[in-house]
Amino acid sequence: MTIEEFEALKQELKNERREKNRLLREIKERDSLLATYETSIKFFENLSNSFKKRSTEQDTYMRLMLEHSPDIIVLMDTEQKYITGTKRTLKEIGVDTDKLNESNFFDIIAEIVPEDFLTHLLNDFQTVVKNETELGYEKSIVLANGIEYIFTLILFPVRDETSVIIGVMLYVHDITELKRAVDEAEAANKAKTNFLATMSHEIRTPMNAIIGTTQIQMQKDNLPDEYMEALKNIYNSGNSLLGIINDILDMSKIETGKLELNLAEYDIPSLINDAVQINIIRIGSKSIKFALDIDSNLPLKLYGDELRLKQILNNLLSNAIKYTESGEIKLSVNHTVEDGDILLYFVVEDTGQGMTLENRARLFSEYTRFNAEANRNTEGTGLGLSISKKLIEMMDGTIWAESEYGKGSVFMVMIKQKSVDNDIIGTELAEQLCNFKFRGKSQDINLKFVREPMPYGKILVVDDIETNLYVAKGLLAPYGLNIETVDSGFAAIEKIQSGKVYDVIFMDHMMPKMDGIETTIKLRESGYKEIIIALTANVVVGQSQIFLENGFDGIISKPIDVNQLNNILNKYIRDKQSPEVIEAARKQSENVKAEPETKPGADSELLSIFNRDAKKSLQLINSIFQTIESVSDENLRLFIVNVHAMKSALANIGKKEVSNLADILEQAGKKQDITTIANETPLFIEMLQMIITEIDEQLDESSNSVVDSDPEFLCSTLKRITEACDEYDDQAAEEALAELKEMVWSKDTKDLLNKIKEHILHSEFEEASAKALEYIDSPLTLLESIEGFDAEAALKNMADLPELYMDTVKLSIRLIPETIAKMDCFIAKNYIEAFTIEVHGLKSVLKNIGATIAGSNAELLETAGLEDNGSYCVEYYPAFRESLIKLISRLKEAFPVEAVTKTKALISTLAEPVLKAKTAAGNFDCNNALDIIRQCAMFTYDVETDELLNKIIFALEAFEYEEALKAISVLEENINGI
Amino acid sequence: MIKSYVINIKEMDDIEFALEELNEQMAEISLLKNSIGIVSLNWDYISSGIYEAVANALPFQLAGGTLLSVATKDEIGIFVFSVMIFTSDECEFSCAVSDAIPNEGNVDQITQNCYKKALAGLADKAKLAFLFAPLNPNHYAEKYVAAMSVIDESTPIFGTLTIAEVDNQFGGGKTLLGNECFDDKLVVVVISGDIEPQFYIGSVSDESIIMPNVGVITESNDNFVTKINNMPIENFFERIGYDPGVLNKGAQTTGFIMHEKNEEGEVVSSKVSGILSLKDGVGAFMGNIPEGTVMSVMTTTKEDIMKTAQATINELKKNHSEGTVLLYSCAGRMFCLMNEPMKEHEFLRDELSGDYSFMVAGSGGEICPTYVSNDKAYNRGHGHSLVICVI
Repeated sequence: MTIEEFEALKQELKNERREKNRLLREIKERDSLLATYETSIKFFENLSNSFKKRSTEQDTYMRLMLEHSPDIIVLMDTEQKYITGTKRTLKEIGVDTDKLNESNFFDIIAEIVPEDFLTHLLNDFQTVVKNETELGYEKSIVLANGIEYIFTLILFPVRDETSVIIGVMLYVHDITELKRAVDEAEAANKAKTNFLATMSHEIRTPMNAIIGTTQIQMQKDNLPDEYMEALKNIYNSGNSLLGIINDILDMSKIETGKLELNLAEYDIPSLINDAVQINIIRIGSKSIKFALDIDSNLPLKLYGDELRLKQILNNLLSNAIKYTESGEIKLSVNHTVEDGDILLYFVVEDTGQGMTLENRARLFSEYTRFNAEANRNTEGTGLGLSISKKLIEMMDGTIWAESEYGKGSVFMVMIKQKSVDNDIIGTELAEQLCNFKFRGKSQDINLKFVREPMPYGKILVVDDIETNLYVAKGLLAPYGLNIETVDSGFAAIEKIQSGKVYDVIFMDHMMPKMDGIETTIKLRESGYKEIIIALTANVVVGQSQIFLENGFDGIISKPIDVNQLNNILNKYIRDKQSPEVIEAARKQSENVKAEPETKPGADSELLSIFNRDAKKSLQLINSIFQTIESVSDENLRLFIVNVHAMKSALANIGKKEVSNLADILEQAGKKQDITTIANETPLFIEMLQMIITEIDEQLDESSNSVVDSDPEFLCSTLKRITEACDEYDDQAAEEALAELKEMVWSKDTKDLLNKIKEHILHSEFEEASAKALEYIDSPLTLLESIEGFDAEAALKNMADLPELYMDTVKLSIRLIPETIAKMDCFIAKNYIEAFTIEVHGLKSVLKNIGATIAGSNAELLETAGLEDNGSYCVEYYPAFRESLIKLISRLKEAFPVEAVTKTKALISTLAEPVLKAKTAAGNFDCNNALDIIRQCAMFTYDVETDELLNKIIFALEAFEYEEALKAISVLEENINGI
Repeated sequence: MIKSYVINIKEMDDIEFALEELNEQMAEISLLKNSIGIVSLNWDYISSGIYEAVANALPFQLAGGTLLSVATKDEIGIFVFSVMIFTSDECEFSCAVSDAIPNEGNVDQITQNCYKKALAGLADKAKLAFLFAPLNPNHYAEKYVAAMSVIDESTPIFGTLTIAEVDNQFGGGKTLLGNECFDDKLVVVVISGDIEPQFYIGSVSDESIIMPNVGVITESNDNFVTKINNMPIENFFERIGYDPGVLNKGAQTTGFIMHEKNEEGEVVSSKVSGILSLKDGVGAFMGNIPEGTVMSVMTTTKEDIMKTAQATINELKKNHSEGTVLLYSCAGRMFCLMNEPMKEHEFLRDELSGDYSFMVAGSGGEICPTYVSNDKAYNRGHGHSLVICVI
């Protein structure tokens, strides 16, 4: 082999090797790529496993969901063929779910849904498919099972990955219960809102009377201390109750978003001072030091809702005082400026109970109070902080608190207010505040605060309810103003049209025919420009704006706040006068202590006023009711206005039940519910009539005495009248009548006297005399004249049935002597038990006929007998017997003596009376002797004794004393002989 | 201004042949005053000694690393040795290699020292930095770039994590500087001069999420996650049907998107993050995974990869009609191409073969700024992305 060949071979080998390497490399590369591919496959297998696992899980979840979901979810293809869906509820409503698969869904449900609904649903299905749109709505349907359901239905198209519609999903959700709950909740909410709105009016109206009347009474100077104390308690309690009511109403307004802030300029020092002064009093006897730290650079005036700010401050301070027993309470007030607004900071620190962390978390929740056991005597609804927080948030502010249990709390409030000007309170004023020496526009709690005398002021009060006029006049009277009142808008307009001008008109809102707003509009249209202030018990948000928009210059809510009233009078009357006029008025009356228009018997006046109003309303209500089936709108409105007026008037006099009935009628009227009006009005009319009658009687009785003040004097004077009439002496008769007029008599007696007077006026003397004798001789009159006899009471015990009473008295005239005879016997034989039985029976008889003293004596004897005290009975029976004899003879005077069978009595019972008669006759005391013997003669003894008694009577009647004494002696011998 | 050339050495075994190829190609190139070569090659070129011979034969520094695949105008495949030569009269080039990166602990100091060393070799401010770092489960790219950004927050950093396939196992590759190769060192190249590098990033589309919000990271420390949904991480993956063993293969077709949320629960960032290793109850991810991060599973289809590549190239071409283009595409994208692993490389080669000098390489982790302004470069690490630097 040559070198060249060797080199060539070597090169060839090299090339072959290179080629081999290249091929190996190529194989390796493919191997590597294959490895890459295999790795990819492993990862994708992993992914696939993961997908499968998740898919299985998803399937399981889906199956569970489909089986158990309470909603109806159905997937159909575009031909309405059922693909899949939930079955539970379908089964419950009666669908045969076994038939669903591969069937037309609508065919299956046709058995249980109404045809019109099915058609509607099918149309919707077609719409969804055709328009590729989603549909949703609520539907109420009655299924084949007879049950009504309310469903929410949604149909939406189902698409594949290329967005082609391949089916429709139907989703049905049962909202029947939800709807019901919503309706109930709405009704409850509406009822609550109505209730609260009604409460606002219903409670404030009588509160107005309570607080207003108390205020009026407290203005008197001559009240005893205990009365003043009692009135203060009523006033404070009334205000507390009003505060609680206001809290609840505020909460309701806040919850429904109806509370509005009333923005106006206000005075910061007054705000702070008022809040502090009111609350300092609450400290009472607690050992608490109250400190104030006021920034002297505070703006003097700000723009905001002063009332609500005071409410917030009041709440914080009152809480601090409530929950601090001793230590210190400090109020700090300062401010900063941000973007032209004032950020007002109030900080209230106390050394009181403090709060735990847990309690702090619940601090601003409603109705939250802590440490219930320890604070059970602490007043409060638990709404204060919640309301304060919401008010603060409405003012774009914040409130927060820090506290340590057992050590105390710090409450911090930041509120944004608008500035008014650059004036600041200054150091001096700040010091005055801190030293509680500030005297601003506010008044202290003493209701007898000094009112500016304004004799130059003219006021008109317009209100259809006399009670309200009464209260308003009472509160205005101390100012010495010229006060006029009218009871309707028409009357008010007439007053103005007649040329009258008033400094202020206080105008009620709700009045019949023309309400306060309409009246004011008319007044303004006529050119009347003076001040008109609305008086309203309807403290509903939005109303204030309505009043201001319709010509009113301001609003006072009822119950009337005296401070608010004072501010208005000062602003619109006093402040418009020159200083000289004001000073002159003051000098004329240093302190206005006008005699309140109330007088003792205000209750009577209120009732009287009520009855006047009620009679008018009753007439109107009755007449409208007669045509209620075809009542016109105007009449219905009148009906409503009148029952509304009666509602508050009845509440004012405490007739709550009837007031509630009036409210029902008012609400029925507003809803034009004629059925309810027709059903309830008769009862209302009847009850109202009863109340009117009752009050009339009460008023009559209060001015009339129940019983005659002096029956004996009446009797004797009537006798004089009869004598005068017999003599045709009208002057004497009239003089006698005049004497009687000054005294207090029952209604019947008054009627009698009036009739007698009338007869005398007409010179009908015989008739006048006969009338007088009717009374004189009337059994009742005679019975009334018996000492210890209360015929009137006895008559009342017998249901005021005179005949029954008279018969009872007549019967007792017979019974009493019979009982005496028995008692005589038992006493003589010392049969005390039998005696007690008889005296017991006699006691009832005596009390029944009005013989009260005799009845009481019988009771004493009965008691003694029951105690086996025979000696008492023996000792006191004779006196009791004598009083009974006298009683019988007086009873017989009242009634014509009838032939009465005498009762047999023992001759021994004559011993004592005959001795007395003998003594009387021996002293020529004929009348006395006669009385005694006549009493003895009421019984029968034996023939001889009876004859002797008659003989004695005849002799005494003839004043033959000697004959009488002879007969008495014979009788004595007979008595002593037994 | 920089001129660039790309040479390829096909010979893997015979050094003499390799050098012949090199000389033939170098004879066509006129080098300017300063030059440097950015290397992308297969691991076998090192083990065969070819790389060292070529590095010794060249008159300039080589810097780069082992990568999974390469595509240039003339060559494409796994077994490719390509060098992109930058040469310039005005621009300067400086290189540095770091100390060994420890498996645990802070790498800031080592990184910063290396960067400073490289920067010190420049007379002027650096306009561009290249970073080649080993793929290490314990340290992710953003650690390095964050440390480097402290030194100089305005210089954009571009680069890759090296990767190699050895016996069908994918793992960390070697970094290269000069004729040396390193398992655990950073190699930094900085360039100063009149250049305005531009950057483009193509990542995953919204449709890549296949299992949204599968889990919440409930226990983690940096990039090490131990619990997901309060379950040990391995249990979690088993729970969702994943074989944890597969996750240890290194580069994956499926990755995870991590949705980082703020205190209000709002998503503030969504990043692709692969899992580099999962063993002994610890999953090492390619980035910091704070607790509370929500994890979604993602993968991409062949269509998605081509779509994002197309969109990125379109963007590039809109702004540049010519230039030097260096591209790194995540190995994960290659896996997602399934039976056509080189499809994206082929596409990019076809798109850029006209007026561009380019080199594409399959990366173990991409480094590229998301935004560069005059004052600041937002240097970030990426995953499952195609990152491009145009000079």
